[in-house]
Amino acid sequence: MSWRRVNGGWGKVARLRAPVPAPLALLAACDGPQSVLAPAGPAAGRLTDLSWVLFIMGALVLALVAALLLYALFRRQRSPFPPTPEGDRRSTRWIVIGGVVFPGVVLSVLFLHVLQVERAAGRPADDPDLTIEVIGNQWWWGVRYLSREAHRVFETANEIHIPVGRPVRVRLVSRDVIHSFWVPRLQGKRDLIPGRVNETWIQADAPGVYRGQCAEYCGLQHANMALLVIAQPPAEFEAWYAQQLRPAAPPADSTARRGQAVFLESGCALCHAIRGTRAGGELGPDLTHLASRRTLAAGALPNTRGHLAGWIADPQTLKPGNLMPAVPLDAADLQALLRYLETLR
Amino acid sequence: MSTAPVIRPRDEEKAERFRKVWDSPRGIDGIIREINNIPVAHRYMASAFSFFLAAGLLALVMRTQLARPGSAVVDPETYNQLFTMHGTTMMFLFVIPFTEAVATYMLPLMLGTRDLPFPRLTALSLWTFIFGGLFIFSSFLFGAAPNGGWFAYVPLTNIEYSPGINMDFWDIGLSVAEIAAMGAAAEIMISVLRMRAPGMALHRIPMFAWAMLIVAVMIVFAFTPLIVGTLMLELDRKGLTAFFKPEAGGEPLLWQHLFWVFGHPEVYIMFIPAVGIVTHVVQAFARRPIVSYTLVVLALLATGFISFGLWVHHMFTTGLSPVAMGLFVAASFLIAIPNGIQVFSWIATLWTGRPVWRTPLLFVVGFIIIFVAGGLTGVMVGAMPFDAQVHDTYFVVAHFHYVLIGGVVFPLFAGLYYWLPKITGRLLDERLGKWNFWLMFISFNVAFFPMHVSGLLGMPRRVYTYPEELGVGSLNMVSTIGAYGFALGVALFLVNVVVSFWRGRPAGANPWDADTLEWSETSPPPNAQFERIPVVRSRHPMWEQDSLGPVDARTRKLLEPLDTAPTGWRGALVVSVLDGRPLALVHVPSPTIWPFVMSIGFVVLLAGALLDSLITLGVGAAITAVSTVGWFWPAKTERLAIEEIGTAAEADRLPLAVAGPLANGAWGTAVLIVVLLTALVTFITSYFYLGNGPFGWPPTAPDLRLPAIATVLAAAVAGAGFGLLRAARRVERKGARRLWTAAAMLLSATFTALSMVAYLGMSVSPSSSAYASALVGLLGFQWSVMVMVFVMMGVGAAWAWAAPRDPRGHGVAFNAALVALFSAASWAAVFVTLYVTPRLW
Amino acid sequence: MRIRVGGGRSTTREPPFGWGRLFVAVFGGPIAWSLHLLVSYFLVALFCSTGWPGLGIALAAATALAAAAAAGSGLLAWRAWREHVDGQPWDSALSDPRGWATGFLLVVGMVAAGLFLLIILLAGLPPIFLSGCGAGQPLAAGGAP
Repeated sequence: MSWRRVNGGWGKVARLRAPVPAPLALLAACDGPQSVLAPAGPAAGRLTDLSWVLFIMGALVLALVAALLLYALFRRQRSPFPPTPEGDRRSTRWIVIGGVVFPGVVLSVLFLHVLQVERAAGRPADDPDLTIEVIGNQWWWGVRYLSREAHRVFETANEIHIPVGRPVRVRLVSRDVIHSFWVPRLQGKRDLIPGRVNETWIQADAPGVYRGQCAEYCGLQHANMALLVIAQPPAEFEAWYAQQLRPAAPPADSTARRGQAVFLESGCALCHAIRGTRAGGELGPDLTHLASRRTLAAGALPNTRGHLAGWIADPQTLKPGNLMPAVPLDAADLQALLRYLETLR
Repeated sequence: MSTAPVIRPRDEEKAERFRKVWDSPRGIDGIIREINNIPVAHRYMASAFSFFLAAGLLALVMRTQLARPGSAVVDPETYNQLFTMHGTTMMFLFVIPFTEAVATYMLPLMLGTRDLPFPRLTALSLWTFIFGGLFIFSSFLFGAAPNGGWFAYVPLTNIEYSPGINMDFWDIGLSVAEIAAMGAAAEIMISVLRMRAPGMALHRIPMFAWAMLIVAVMIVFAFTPLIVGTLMLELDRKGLTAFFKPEAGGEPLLWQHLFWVFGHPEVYIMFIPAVGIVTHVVQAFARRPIVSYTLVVLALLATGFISFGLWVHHMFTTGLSPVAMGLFVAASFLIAIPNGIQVFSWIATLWTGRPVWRTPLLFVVGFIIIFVAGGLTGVMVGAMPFDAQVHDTYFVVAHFHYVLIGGVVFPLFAGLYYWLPKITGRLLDERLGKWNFWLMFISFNVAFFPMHVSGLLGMPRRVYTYPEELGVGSLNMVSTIGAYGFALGVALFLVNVVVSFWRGRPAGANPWDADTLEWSETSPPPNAQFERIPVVRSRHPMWEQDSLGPVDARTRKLLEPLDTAPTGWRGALVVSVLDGRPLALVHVPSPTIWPFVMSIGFVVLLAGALLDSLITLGVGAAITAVSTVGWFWPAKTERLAIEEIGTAAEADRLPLAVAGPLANGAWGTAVLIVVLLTALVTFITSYFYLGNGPFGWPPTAPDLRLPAIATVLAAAVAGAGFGLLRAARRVERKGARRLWTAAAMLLSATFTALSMVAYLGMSVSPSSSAYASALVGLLGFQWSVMVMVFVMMGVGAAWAWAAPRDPRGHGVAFNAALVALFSAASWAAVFVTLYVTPRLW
Repeated sequence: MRIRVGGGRSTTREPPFGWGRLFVAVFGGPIAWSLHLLVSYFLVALFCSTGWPGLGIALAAATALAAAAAAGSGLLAWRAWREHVDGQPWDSALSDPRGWATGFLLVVGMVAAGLFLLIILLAGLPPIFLSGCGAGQPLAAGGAP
């Protein structure tokens, strides 16, 4: 599948990046779906600014030290030898200047800057009015949209939709081991720790799809635990929200009806929930609006009919070790099930 | 600058007898009886380097898998085993043992003494390390290699999510590295502080010795929390406790604290020896002393301290308080200052010296550049907002490989090119060496520089594969090519070493015209190392001294009888800590089989713990017990030797140190007590941490009556300890020694029994809650200490009865008394924690 | 047979003053910093778990105390140097003035005191810029949804 690039990105960063020297510009050109260097929100933007400050300072210091070292080795005009005590005292003064005073001053200033960035990136400017709970599971993300009104709460998986330009609070909990929620283009990572509840916030300044991935080693399929954050204009987001709140539509045709029966009776419902049906399993992702999602198995596969069929028939080959067992279905049942799942828009 | 002449002893017949005492034992059993530092270090270095090669091969398989997106060279399970074992092996089975091995070989030579203070412990460390390393690697045979990461985060590594024995191999196998590292730490500390050439005052000891001294102290404070943590983890895995189980009130973050309070100092434990090696190479090849020795020592000391205040920067993403994290950012930034001092002092030395281009210097130059780059990215990841982005990505992988390969492997290679001629007596080939360096330097950067970028592009660590869309495919391909190039560089080194064995030019005593004492001996040096004790009057004796003989009459008079002497047993000199004045003669044990046997006991114990097999555990315990008895047995031959030399010592006018603060044994016991104290503090801190502060628990304070009686008994143990301390000072008071050792045995046994009864009376299962686990942790620690008192007192009593006239028995008793005093103090702390604090709030 | 159990036979006192004083003079700065780190960390945990006000003041007090301790140890090292090392007579067995090794340690102690003073002061800054008790809370306290 192709990733929608966000043109323009975050204004301030684009301005900042304009005058950087050529080798750095080369790096900046490397913007990918998970690139730290292509921020799309205020928090990530500040972190990227800080990154460039650090890279440039680091490059300068490295160049300085390397130059001094090479000059020390190759300079023609050697100091008097054997060395004199006065010469050594002078050298010691240089060591104190280069090794104590210089790093002391630079790092103290940098420290203050880092504290400021932390303050700015740590909290949103306005208090978020939307809170999303992300639940870590081996190896997928449960997503619950929280609300004080119980009927406004719903659950989905592996895909988070947010309104553009508004900060969103993310509550982080884990159901099994430690995971880490990381959507690099929006915010730094934060861990999901069993027995604790953690919090972070994200905000996207432009519509787009932002890929994220579990960043704390969480077992066999740590590599295949991705999620998508989809930022939408507020109206589009509200429409999506309203759609997600609805229970699944009843199957419209006979094939879909047969598919629903297969779902409910072949064991799928033991682990998966589909609101509006008897299926209320909690071990696997909520499938109420499966067809509206872009990926399967936490980003392991694009959500197409073929991949879905392959996933149901043989999940252990596609993502070895995941908790979903292969369900033995004959071809007709499988086709019916696929038909039904495709109606879950 | 003149080279000191090698001094030949005058009396050849006496010298022959002297050498015979120090010779390696012959015969097949000689192999396992060997305890002298030089042959033991050969084996130590060879085995640790083998683990380096093995871990490198694991890395090549990983790089092959990652070369392209979505490849399936290995399956995910295998990949997870590979990265876990790569990290674990490099850290625990290569870097630390290898630097310890180098120290085992070099320290006595550099310090001008004849052996390490506890040769039997050296041998024990070696054998335990070899068997333990093979034990961990044997997991591959069962397809059950550790797979939870070298950092083993809970709950992933708890039995619920890692049901196989993979992580048991890791957890139990690590105790090997822990035993070996602790043993080496005690040796190095005491060796540097006390076993130096006369005149080698603290401001003159070689930088490598300073580095190893600081590292040894760090190992004591850093490895102890790891030991406690892995013990807790293993108990949790066996279902006996719930330290880290959130469903029972345990806390996964406690593991992270315990692990990183070890793990960050660990980085510097690996790096600081490199500073020592580099300083020597810079001095030798800049042809001048290091500029500002004092500042470099200060830098090492400051690094050692600060490294303990960085651990939270591995936890910046766990949601801790920003204020608390800020404290650690400050430390993470300012550790750059001591490192800056070192780097600038090497540059200043080269600047004002006359650099000579030899392979060791090349490796040092490569080291400085790579290490500075790694240090700068280290400052970056210490900045917590930036860390939130790059934490657990390939940026961090790049960073620590710059620090560890650049900062440790390159210096070690510099050290090998510098010291191997001393060890083998043959020079390595310069041309191959230069090829070796350039291949390693270039391919290192090819392999690891791109990883910075792939991390910034969003590639997390510890993934067995990545999707093409991430856009890191070509970067990974480049990294893989670099990795193979690096492997080729290492292979070239091996070729160079092998070729030098049969073609290398003879090195002679001092091929580099270097400055420190190891270059005054032949290459390779004899087991006894210094037939005549050298006298040091300078930081660079081979450059600044005309001779290594004494110049003042008093020192000459003290040392002359020690030329090629003693001849009936192995003897070495101890000096005062600060000024290096000769204090006493110490007896260094002769070859013995028991360290080897004991290490087999350890490994059988490990296997028993792994397999939950009581029979195996019993066999292991029996072997360990038998070897303990054998180890401490007052063997008759040794006894005669001691008595014979007692008189020799009279003539030498230096006392023979066997007991009390003058003897190395008491210093070793002091190290043991510091270890125990650190463990106690770790347990107490964990107790309060799990209780979420001093207000948390327990719901009801435990009953006070039996513990109060136990307190009286503990005080009585202390009393017996005091009595024994006095009795151990007088040779004729064997009756008092028998009385106090027996009393202490009885009291410590009664204490343990009573305290156990009190615990059983509470009828809480340790697995039921984190509180119960923490309680049992503290009590179990106290019981272990009391059992230790019991055993040590038992050994003391055995000596008092079986060999009352052997002076070494006093040493045993004195050391047992010290531990008895500690046991009482430790109980006071445990008592207050468990029984008093719940009543305060 | 002569068995030595007590101290050695050194004729000069080593160090020229007590071991305790030498220890404080050399390690005072680093230890002040270590304690500052641990105490500050504990204070944050304490104030956050109890909800008490005044964390900033408590941290500032800890910083002031630790800074004073580090500075004090540097001063102690300097005075010990002036009193016991500076201008001592030559010791031929050492080929250095008497107490030179002690003096070396005192110099290390003086510089260490300055370095760790800087770290303590820097570590005292975060409360001025940052506040709050971390996002992570035990589940019981944070409450299930």
